[in-house]
Amino acid sequence: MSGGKLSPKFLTASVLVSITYLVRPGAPPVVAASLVSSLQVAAVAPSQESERQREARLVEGAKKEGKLIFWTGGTAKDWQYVFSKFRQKYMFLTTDYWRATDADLYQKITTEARAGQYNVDVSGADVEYLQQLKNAGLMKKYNWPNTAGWSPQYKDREGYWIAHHVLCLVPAYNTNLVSAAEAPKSWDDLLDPKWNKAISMDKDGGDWVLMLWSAWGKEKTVNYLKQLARNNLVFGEGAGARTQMLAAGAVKIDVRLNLHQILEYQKKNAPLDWVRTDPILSRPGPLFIAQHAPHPNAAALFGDWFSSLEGQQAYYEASGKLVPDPKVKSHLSEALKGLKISVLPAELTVRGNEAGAIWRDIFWK
Amino acid sequence: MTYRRPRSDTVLLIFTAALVVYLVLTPLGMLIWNSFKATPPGVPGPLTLDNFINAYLDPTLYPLVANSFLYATGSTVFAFFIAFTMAWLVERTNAPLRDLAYVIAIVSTIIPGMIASIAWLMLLHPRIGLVNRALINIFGFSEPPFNIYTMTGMIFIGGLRHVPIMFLLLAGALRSMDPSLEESAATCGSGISATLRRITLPLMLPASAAAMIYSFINAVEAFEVPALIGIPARIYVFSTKIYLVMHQSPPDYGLSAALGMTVLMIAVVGTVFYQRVLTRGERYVTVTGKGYRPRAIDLGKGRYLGTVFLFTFLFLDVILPMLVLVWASLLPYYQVPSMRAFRSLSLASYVNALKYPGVLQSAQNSLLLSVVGGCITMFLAAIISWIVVRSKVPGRRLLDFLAFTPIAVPGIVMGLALMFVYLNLPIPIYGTIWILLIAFVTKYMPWATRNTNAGLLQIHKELEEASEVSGASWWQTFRRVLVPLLVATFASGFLYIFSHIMREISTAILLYSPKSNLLSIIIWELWQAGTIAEVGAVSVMLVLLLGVVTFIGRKYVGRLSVS
Repeated sequence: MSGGKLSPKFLTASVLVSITYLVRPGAPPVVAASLVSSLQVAAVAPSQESERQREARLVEGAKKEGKLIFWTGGTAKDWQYVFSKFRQKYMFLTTDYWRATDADLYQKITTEARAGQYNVDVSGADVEYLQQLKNAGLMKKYNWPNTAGWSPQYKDREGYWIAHHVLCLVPAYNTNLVSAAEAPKSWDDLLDPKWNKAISMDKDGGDWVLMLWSAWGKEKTVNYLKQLARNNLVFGEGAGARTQMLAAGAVKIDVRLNLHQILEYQKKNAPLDWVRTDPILSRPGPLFIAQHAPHPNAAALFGDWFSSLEGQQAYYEASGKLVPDPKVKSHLSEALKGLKISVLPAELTVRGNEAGAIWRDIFWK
Repeated sequence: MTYRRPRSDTVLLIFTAALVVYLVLTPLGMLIWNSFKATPPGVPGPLTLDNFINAYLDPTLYPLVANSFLYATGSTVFAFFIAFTMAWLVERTNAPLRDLAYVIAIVSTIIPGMIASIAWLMLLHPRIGLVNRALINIFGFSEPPFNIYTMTGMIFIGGLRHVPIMFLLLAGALRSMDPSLEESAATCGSGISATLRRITLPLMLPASAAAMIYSFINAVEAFEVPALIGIPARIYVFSTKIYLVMHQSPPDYGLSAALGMTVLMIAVVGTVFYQRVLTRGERYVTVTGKGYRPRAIDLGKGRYLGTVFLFTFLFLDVILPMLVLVWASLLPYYQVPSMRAFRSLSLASYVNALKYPGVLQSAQNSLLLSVVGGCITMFLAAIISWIVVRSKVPGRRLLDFLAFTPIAVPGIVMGLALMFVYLNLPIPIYGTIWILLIAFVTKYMPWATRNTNAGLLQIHKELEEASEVSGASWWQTFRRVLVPLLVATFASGFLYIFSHIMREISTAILLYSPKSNLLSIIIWELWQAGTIAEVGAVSVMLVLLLGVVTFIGRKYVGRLSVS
């Protein structure tokens, strides 16, 4: 809980009234059980107990729950490593993992919720869907206790989500096809007509529009995109697949690839390099605890562990992505040293639909 | 003709028909309902025509319609030419190694469309396509001779993808067709070409029409080739547009349903045509109570040309794409062949793929669903076909139409519909493997019923009448007369559904749970993560495994078939 403003007496009274209502005969059993459990977690304000007491309470609750259900768009391989580390500490918990694209993830969560079913404890989400999930009451307001040292850009002000990684997106080029001399050096260089049909890009670009928007403002972004569209971008799907195609020489340039993947390919001697744009665009990859998590103690325990240095280190080791905890030493931080980084602010995510429409109007028609 | 069926038979028929109607109406109802709503599924909202107005007033719709028709027609005609030639070579001639065509067809269907499209991208890409590079190196072309990112490229790959289904339909029909008329024509001095043109092709009209209509509608709904080739080329068709509006933020459920309804209308028109062919089908009956045994036409020296044709298709549709996949699977990242690439070859991706989380459990789930799903779908389809083709039950055409309609429901819409229904019904299958089974049985019902309709159409009623006169019940007649005659149809249908379930993604993606993960989902996940080497490794292993299963299956079925 964001903690603190409500008095313990009021909280206790509210909890009792709520429980009485929710466990009345006829209440949906899943909802009732999950809400009761959730309220038990919420009933104790974090400020009243020590870190150790809090963990002991969560462990006790999580032992009864026995399970953590996690949904995300990340790869199973990354998360298997993270969960193996998590379970080294909390062996009594089993972890169920489900993955899909962010769009499918959103559809599953919202469709289940409309039917009154809540099957996920902790989930990832794309920035474009954050506002809709929040408005639908599906994200839990939570006091992420280990994120005090994080940049405010990497966590929601109200505690609805934290970043589980920070994705740095850069234009990249194939060094066999583009020499260092002619390679683009700036955003404007990408507008050169010599790159007509030579630049690839994801078919979905709403989040990218938002990132440019946050760096330049809406008007400049729209103008820039209209000029870029004249170079007839080649659309693909998925940064991973497009990185492969770029390395193979299918296109000369891709306008938005994941920096951590480029660095990984460079280690394999792939002919790739990236453009040090001003600014480098980045966005948080949000993670949230579900409002109606069926295993709220396990969810909280995982949230706390994942946002701790141990969890952050584990995720960095698994994925190679930049993580929000500044204490984790990352090769990406080294690569980005001295460069200006623009982080997509959470406030702008409310414009996700508008950004998606701008993208479609300019590039899909 | 009226059968005096025992009551239990009537119950079985009614139950089966009701089950199919229930299975089909779930996604169909969702599609229709959503097309008239402005709010997402499950959210109350007024009925509206806005979705249709938005869809039809959008100027981008018309190129979409033109592209969809061009793609569907082109790939159907291209596929028919190859499939009919293959079927004729296999069932009517003495071309050496002709039985290989069945293995080719099945192996071809085993290769997921997405994987095949990726492989063809690597072959015909204007810049990195291996075929283009080879031709440039050999003949010194200044420009790459082929460009995959065109409508022709889409038709070529899409057409190749439709050959197996058409071949299986046409070969099944040809096998079941009494060749006495063709043999009479030959005896009267008619040449091979004239017999083919005047006797075989006209007799095959219902099966050909059914195959082409099915292929056309399938092509309108097809997603993989239009997505991987069409989207980069900016050639949009219905399926890609539906996908795009469902994956935008927020998803436009209404518009996607309105577009889905348009696809449904195309399916309706196709079905009406199909029905007209079906009602005239009696004229084409050639399997009667009389014994028959097709005799192979001697092609003389030309028989080797037949084998060359089969091998060319095998090379284009299976070997070439598989070679590229094997090549990709051995590299740390995809590269065109070079000394540097050769030096980096390793089997690491095969080890990584086998160690990938959940891959073995997923393989088990996929196998279970493919076998059980294939059997159930074919069994239900056979009963539906009997009702449609043989009985005089009122509403049988509606039943046939309903069994056909899932073809028009986009995979993602079907997934959403089933998810929504089973979240709200007190049937506890949501999140289990059983909801996937329901999805697959529903999804492949159109294919299965076309297959069994075509098969049943060519078996004369007199065989069943003889059984009936001898005192057999309907069930006994069905089991002991029709099923043995339809073994080839069942086998080809089963293997087709089996291999399609092994690769299905779009419907399963919303319905799978951690415990019911599928191999196809793992392949898709690996592709999304950009690990083409692992994608190649899993695909190669999958194709090898299914190739062996198919080979054994064919051998076994061959023994069961009525010869």
